[in-house]
Amino acid sequence: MPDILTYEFMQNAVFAGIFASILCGIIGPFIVAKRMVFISDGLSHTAFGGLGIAYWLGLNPLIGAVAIVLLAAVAIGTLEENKIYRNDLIIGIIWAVGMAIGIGFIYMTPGYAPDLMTFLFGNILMVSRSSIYFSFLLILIVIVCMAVFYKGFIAITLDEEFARARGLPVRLLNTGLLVLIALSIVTLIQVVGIVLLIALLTIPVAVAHEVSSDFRTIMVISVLVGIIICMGGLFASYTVEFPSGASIVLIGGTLLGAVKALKAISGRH
Amino acid sequence: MKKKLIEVQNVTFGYNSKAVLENVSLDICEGDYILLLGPNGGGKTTLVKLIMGIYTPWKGGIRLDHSVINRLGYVPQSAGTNRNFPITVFDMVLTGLIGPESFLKRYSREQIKRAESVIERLELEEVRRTNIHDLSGGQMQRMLIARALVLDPVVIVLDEPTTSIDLTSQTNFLDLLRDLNRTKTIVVVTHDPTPYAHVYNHVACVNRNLYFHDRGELQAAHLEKIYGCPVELLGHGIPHVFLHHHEHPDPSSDG
Repeated sequence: MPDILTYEFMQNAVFAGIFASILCGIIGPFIVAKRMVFISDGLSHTAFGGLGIAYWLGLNPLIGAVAIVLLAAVAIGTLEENKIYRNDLIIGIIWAVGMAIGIGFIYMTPGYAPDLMTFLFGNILMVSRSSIYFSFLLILIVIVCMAVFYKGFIAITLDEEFARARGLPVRLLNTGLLVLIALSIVTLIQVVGIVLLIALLTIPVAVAHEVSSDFRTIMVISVLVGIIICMGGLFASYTVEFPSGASIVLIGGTLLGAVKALKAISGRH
Repeated sequence: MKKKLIEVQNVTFGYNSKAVLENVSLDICEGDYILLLGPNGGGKTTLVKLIMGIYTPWKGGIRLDHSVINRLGYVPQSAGTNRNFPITVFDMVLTGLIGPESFLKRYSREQIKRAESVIERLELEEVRRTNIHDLSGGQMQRMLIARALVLDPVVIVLDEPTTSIDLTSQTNFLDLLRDLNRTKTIVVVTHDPTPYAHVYNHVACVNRNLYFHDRGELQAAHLEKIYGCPVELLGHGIPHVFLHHHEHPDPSSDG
């Protein structure tokens, strides 16, 4: 591994992997506990619309993705709170509309059309230094917000009705959590792409759940598992020339299977 | 005269422009052990959610005595708790302290001590480090009460608390409520008054309207009118106080 770190693109990839793992480790346990995996998937596909618009406008695609995903997060929070549409209906709609906007704007962009596969399946080896700085900024925002609102997020995840009875700003906290999920998604898109990012949000948490039943410990283990998966996938991708996003996800899946099997075997003895 | 802690004044509320409660008034006083009784869909839980401030009335108002503000304990139906959330009993009890003024701060030493003492009082020490997912129905219910008690509430409101617990746990649970009633006002929402027959001192029947009269014994006719079907009274000989419904006649007068 140290040899390959002499390349700048590999250094960027390592940073991107670590940052993505930290975000997944912090946000993933909430997504799983609040059963918001489908919402996260919807948001990630909506991001594609922002990428398309940013390309068309000649802006950094990440800025477009951040803008549209934040907008979608606030819209989901508002529509859900006011019970205007059912949750799954909202997600299904923003998912499809986001993808359609992305495809449309990328098609309309004059000149060289970016490779859609890069966004859909990601390429950690193509992450630029500016994207790393941007991700670092996002990670700082997510960590600070999580540290400040942690107890509030725990309260709404555990028992929303009790939180309302205690006078907590449930609507604000729900939307805030969605916004943090949205920011994490934007960072993850660069690493594993839109299609595979759900794996990075859920597999480390699933592994952590196998070994701990304490929420804070699950967060820490999820971060570590995420880093192991990302670094392993990166190394595998470099050595056997396999797509990086797919390598990361497959290593994650294998690790989860191995932990589950080990637990089952140790439980028998 | 007992001190009024909660006054529900001519409250009307509903969902999707359909009224579930109409012009309901109810006083909850110091030391009361009130059953909010009524059929499913009659508006009992809605009334409790209005009292807890989860909903805002369309009309009318709810006045809390200053001693109750921030000291209103709530034990919602256990089905609303996310039992898949990885949290121990001790940490769960502590979450009862998370309020608008405190959710940005760390738990203080005094709050942690209070949680420990509530856990001891409710005999949850054995499961203190247990994940809430692994609790029995009775333990879960006691833990939800502990979460409410950690605030040191003046009034505790419990929504269908005996639904998911077995008979033995139910007896212990009712003993606990009776013990709590020595120092606290208890409000229990239930569709079945039988388990509470020897402990409550007031009944308020809710089915869209609220029926209540000052003195006199609960008659089957009252309940038959409210439930719309024949009712057998199982808790004979216990004085019941019904609440006045200002706009509607007392059911005893015409039923």
